[in-house]
Amino acid sequence: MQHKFIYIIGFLGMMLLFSCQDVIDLELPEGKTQLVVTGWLNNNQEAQTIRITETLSYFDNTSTPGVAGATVTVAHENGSEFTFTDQGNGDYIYDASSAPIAAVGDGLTLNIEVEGKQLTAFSEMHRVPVIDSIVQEDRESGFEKGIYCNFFSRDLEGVGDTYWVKTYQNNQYLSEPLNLNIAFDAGFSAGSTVDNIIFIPPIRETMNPVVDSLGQSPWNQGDLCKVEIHAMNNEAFFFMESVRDQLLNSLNTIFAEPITNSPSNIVNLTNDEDILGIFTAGAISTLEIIIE
Amino acid sequence: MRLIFSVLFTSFLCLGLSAQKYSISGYIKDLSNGETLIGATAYVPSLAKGINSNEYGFYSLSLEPGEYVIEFSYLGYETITKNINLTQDVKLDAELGYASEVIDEIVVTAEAADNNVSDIQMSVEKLDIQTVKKMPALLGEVEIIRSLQLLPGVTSVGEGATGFNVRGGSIDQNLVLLDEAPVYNSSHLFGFFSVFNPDAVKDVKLYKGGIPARYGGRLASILDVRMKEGNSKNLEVNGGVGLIFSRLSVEAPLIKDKASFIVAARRSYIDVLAGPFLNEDFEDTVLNFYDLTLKTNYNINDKNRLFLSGYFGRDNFGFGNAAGFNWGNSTGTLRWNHLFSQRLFSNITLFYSDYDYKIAFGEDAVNRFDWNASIENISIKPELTFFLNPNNIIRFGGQSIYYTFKPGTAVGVSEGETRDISLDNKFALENGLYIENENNFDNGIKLNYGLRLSMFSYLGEGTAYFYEDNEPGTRKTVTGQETFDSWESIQNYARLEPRFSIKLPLNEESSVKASYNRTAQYIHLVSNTIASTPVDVWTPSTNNIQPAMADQVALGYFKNFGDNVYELSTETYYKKTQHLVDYIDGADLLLNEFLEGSLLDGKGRAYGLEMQLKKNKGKLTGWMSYTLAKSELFVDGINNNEWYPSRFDQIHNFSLTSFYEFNDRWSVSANFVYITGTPATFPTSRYEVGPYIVPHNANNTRNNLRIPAYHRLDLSATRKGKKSSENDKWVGEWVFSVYNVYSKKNPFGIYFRQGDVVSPGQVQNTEAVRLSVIGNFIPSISYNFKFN
Repeated sequence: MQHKFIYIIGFLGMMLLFSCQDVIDLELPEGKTQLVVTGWLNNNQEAQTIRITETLSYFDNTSTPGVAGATVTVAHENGSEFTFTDQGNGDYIYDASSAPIAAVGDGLTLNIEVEGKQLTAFSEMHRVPVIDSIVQEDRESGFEKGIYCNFFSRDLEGVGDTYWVKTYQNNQYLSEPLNLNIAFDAGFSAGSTVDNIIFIPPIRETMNPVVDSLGQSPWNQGDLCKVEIHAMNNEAFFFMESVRDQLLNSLNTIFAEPITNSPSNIVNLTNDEDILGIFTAGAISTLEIIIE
Repeated sequence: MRLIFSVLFTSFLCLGLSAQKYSISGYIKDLSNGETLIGATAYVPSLAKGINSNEYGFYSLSLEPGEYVIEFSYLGYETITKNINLTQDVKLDAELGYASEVIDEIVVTAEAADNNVSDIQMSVEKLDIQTVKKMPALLGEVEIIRSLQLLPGVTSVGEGATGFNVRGGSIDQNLVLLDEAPVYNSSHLFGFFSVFNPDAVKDVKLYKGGIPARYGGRLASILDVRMKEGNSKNLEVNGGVGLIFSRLSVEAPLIKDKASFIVAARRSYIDVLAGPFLNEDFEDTVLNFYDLTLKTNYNINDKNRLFLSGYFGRDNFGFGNAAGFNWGNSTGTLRWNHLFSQRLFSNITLFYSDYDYKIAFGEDAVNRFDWNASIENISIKPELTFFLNPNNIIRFGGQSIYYTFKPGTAVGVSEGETRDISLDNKFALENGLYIENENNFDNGIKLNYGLRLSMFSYLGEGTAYFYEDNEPGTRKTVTGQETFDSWESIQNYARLEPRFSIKLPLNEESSVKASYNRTAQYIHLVSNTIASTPVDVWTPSTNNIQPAMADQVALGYFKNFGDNVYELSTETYYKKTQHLVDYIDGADLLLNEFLEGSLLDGKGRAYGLEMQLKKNKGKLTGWMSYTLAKSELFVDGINNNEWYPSRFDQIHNFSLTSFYEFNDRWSVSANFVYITGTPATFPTSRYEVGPYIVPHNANNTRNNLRIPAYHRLDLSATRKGKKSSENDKWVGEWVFSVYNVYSKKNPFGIYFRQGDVVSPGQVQNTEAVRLSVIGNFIPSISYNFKFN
């Protein structure tokens, strides 16, 4: 959570003189190899991808291997079925360029047959609010100097809408873990009962690129600044929330949370082997501006 | 209640039946400043009977008429004797002093107390504030809680971690009392410094086991810190200038020997020192902490005495309007000592305690977020001590605490639209009744047995939620809710807590002690981070959260040798706990109305062996402690339903604390500690989600590995100032210290992260990062003074 950073900054400030972080060599125990399924479908007329991979040892710095040879289909609640073609590299693609795979509110069931296992997962095609504006602001105080942006959008009425807000700088996705920006309704988390409001300021702020040094401007004149809101199911929110917490743990210093496994919604119908990953579907809204 | 009355009745009956006796009673005090002494001894050699003074320095001995010699003694003080011809009740105060200060009375050579062997208490650590002041300290700041961690059975998960762990328990299992008011967050600046100002502290006692029935409310320990009353003889000023804080305390009589006060204050000045180096952009940066400790007392007459004490402390962090964060404790205690008779001592305590924090951030009035949370309580606690005879001291009393939990008042303003996402306050009432008897037999056997009845009511106004039992370890779904009116009880609990200790003397120099205690805890600190943070909130036991329970047995062997110069204590313990709060993976603990749906119910077991060898006298003094311990948890749905080590499972814990006095002016001291690394959960594998590398633990284990062991050496040297003449009122001293002498980079934790993106599309590196909160040696110098 964002507010955590406040005291962490304070803590770091205090202990700057004494504390140190260094990268170390460490032997980790080996774990069994597990299957990972990720599917983020949308209702755009474009290629839809499901990816099947295997886990690697934590320090194995190669790309996780794709699993080919699976049968991947998505069943629409109206009875139609979409077959995703094996690309041989772990990607399974359905070309939805002629018609969207589903409309908002429709139910989709993922069915996979892989390595003798039958896997399944479900998601509705979730709704998304429009982005009304991206407002550029020149800041000249304290830690922040330069051009900052805020996007404005109002969460849809009804509790339980979950979103992933993605920002692109000159078409480059801001992939720093600090930019991983998710929202439950327009707030941080489930159970905080904010609904139907404009996305709260810390979420609006997280769209700004992380700067290397204090006082550096996150955006420059002429930059193309694009924001997308991806609707997703609640399981995907909890999954991404956990992913983000793991990725940011090293910044939380002494307030780190223990490493936990991110909760998957992929069900193994064949045996009790856990399958990792997430399957979700949701609409996307987009807005872009040129920084002046 | 009925039980108490019946015991009272029996006691008075006994009184009537026994032969005519008279009592000798009074206060034992420090001659130099009039402070009462806690745990000093009044001893009658002809009968080989004695008694210790209580928390207010009061003692009472009932004896048959006759002539007696009574010895008053206290560790570090000269023993004095008084002759009494007992023909009626006598009030007899004793003032003990250091050798040069004792003027009248008969002087007896000071004897090291053999309390270690003779006293019934086991599993208790007493820290003498003078000893604490001599230890090498981080940045030269005398620190009570960090000093406690050099004693057997007391640990911490690392530098900067709030609180302390006792015998494998979490930090919320310690009841920290400052003049009887609970302190909910005992740390300043996370865990580097504690809230206790050493200049205002008189006595520190930590009960790790064998907890007497008069204490209750937490599972693992009671840290009882008593404040000084203030010099009742003359003006005294103490102070110190260090690298982090400065401190000043003033104490003086208000009415000589009748009323006195102490005011002690500390403030850190990092921000003041840093000020000139901050450019105007950062001039609004606030970074400080301070505390104020006050106490006054008034001796109304021989039978009545009043004490009023208070503490107020705060830590502040702020960055102009953009963000602010502050937290602190406030406590206030009013006590009235009343003597119903020479043998019936009573005290009524009223206290108020509050811990709260506030967080605010925002750009302007239309875009802000303000959040605060607190735990507040008021309590009344009547206690009576009946000195039936030298062999029976009966204590009984009760306590009521009314809690107000404010788990989160939060208002967010987004583009002028205000949303209140506050959680409802929660209310609870905790009541306790107890009776205990300290029973001494003529053959040297001592018993302390007691019973505590604790009761807890979770009260309205509020909403109780009911949850469905899901698969263990997953989020539970709400199935219903019910609202309750103000003071309507939502859930009630009652627990009986038996307490028992025994001391069997083996000979003059050694004894065996054993104890059993059951403790109940009704309030819980909700925290799932490695070190507890100041934003963690307390929650009461509810219809979904059971009170936690602990049963502990301990057995010990105690031996003094070399004329009580050396003390050896050896203890083993086994502790079983139930209904510990744990969390599902990914639980949102803050501002979550349905928090209880994310809680799990766990149990624990802890056992260990603690040894301490202490040298009390001579130029070289100090102690060596070693603890061999295990602390494990079992939670349905976690670690594949197997027992796993708790975060505080530190198998070996060795420490050496020593002091050497060269002469009147120079002394040195050293600490060395070695502790097994704390358990941590490490990933085994990785997978990709978009550009992110997700760490994964394929074996689903918790705390499967350990960080490397911790060790550290600290040194300090003290140079006392010379008095230019006998009348010189100013005494100063310089303290030079080095913390972490050989610059050990002790890991607090090991974290896993993605490396920097080298080029777009490239596979991310993953790396392990060691965080050392203190990665260097830290030299410091401070100056302390006393004006008297």
